[in-house]
Amino acid sequence: MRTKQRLFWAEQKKMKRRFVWLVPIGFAALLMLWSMANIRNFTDADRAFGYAYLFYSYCVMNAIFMPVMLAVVASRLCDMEIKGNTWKLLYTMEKPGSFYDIKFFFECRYLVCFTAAETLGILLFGKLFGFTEPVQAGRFLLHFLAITAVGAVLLGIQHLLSLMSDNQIIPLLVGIAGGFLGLFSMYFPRIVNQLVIWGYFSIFSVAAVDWEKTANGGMALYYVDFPEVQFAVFLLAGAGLYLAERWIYLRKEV
Amino acid sequence: MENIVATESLSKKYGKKYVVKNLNMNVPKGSIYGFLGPNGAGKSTTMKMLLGLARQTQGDIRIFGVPVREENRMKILKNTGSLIESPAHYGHLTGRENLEIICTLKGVPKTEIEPVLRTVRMEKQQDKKVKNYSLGMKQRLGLASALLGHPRLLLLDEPTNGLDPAGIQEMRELICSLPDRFGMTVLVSSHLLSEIDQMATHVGIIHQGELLFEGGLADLHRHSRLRLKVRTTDDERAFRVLKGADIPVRYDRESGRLLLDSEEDACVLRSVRLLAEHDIGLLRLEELQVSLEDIFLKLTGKKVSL
Repeated sequence: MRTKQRLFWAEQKKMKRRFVWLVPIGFAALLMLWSMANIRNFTDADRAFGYAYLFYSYCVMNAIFMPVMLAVVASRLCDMEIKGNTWKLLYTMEKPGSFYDIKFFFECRYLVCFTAAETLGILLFGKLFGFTEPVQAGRFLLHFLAITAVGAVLLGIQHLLSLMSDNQIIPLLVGIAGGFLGLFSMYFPRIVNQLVIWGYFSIFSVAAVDWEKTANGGMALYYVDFPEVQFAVFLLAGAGLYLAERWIYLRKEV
Repeated sequence: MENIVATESLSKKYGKKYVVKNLNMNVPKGSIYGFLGPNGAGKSTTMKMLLGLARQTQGDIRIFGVPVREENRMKILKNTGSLIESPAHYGHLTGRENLEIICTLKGVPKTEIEPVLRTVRMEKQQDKKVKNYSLGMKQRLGLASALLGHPRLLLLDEPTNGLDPAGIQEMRELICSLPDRFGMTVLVSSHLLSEIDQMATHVGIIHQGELLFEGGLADLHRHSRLRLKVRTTDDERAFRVLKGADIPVRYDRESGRLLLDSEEDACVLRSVRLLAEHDIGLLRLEELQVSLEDIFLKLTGKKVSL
């Protein structure tokens, strides 16, 4: 068996009895129940822009819930190494960098499942509640890519914090605080919004609210042009941030 | 004799303080090398450097005769097993599942689990979750992990820490049996002299990061020879008389102890006669065994607690 395969299977074995799948499933269920409560009362006019509504409302809910979910996932996976004091044993069998990467990969699995469930959930709700708005596959794909990318960058931060903290309450508090910060930043001018990493769910949201029209009664939603260049820069910066986090982690001696 | 581990001028500095300084250590093949020193002497740091868990500030390490570099570290460590400080474990998994993870990471077949469980006498507890294990059971599981893959070198850092007397005895017997049963070389650290005395074939004594003594346990025991404490009516004059007659004698003015560094009957007889000839009354002649502990304290400084 090749080294990477061995690391993968060893990590897979560690997951036994951790019930980590319950975390993304629980959060996804919470999001869907919340949105279902609103969709139930949709009028025909609302159903005409139902997908846009869900894209936007999920971007707000992601800002609140996803940092907390990612903090819990990272904590569940990293805590077992801290509690078991396993570093000194593991690093005689695998390189610290490989350990860092494979752990992050495993955390990303839960993120991707959550974002995929959320995106498919929007489509499912559209069919169940008879949205008259046509399905635009490109928008769904962009929504999935955007929330996955922002989630992965946030997960990188949580991953480092969870591996570096003996007490997992610290990364959890950072996740909760980040969620609130991200939510508030959405209601500030864009330049402020861009300074808060947890607020990027709204920057890459495929739908937005026209607040002027909304003030006159009813919620006015519209689709925005996806900022491809900014997204590419964000991905590069995210990769750079991950390497910096990895470098910080590797400096730590066990 | 071939050395399985050899270090040259190995040093580790944290800030401005040397934790390990110019350590030249040689662990012979097939030996049980007792790495002895008080708490904080630099034992664990040295072992971590050997395993590549801590980077040395300077110096070289050779394991199995090969210089250890970052590029070949994992390849060399494939033939080593280790138990550093507290035993590593995943509490939510059973003992067997923990060993399965080690097997996967080491690339060792699962069939090796049964023999190592038998070796550490853990067959009956293998399906119990590790979080419910006692410390002694965790230590034995840690040793089982280290034994997987039949390593040629085993590094055990204070393996009896926290064990009860029966557990200590059991662990000691187990360690002692490893070179003969599996042809392993064992490097075991401890701050307890008596423990090393009962296990090791070779000893290295470290204090404040420096290696003060290295050699066979027999060499160390040779230092613990018998001496005679002499008490006379005039110890200072007695010292001058005996010294003048080329008798191996020492006089410590502070403690007022006159010591005869010989246990030979002829030397004792000659000394007594000389004292009588010079009208010096012999009050007491007392056998004084210099224990390993005395040697250890002398080497590491008397203020160091064991």
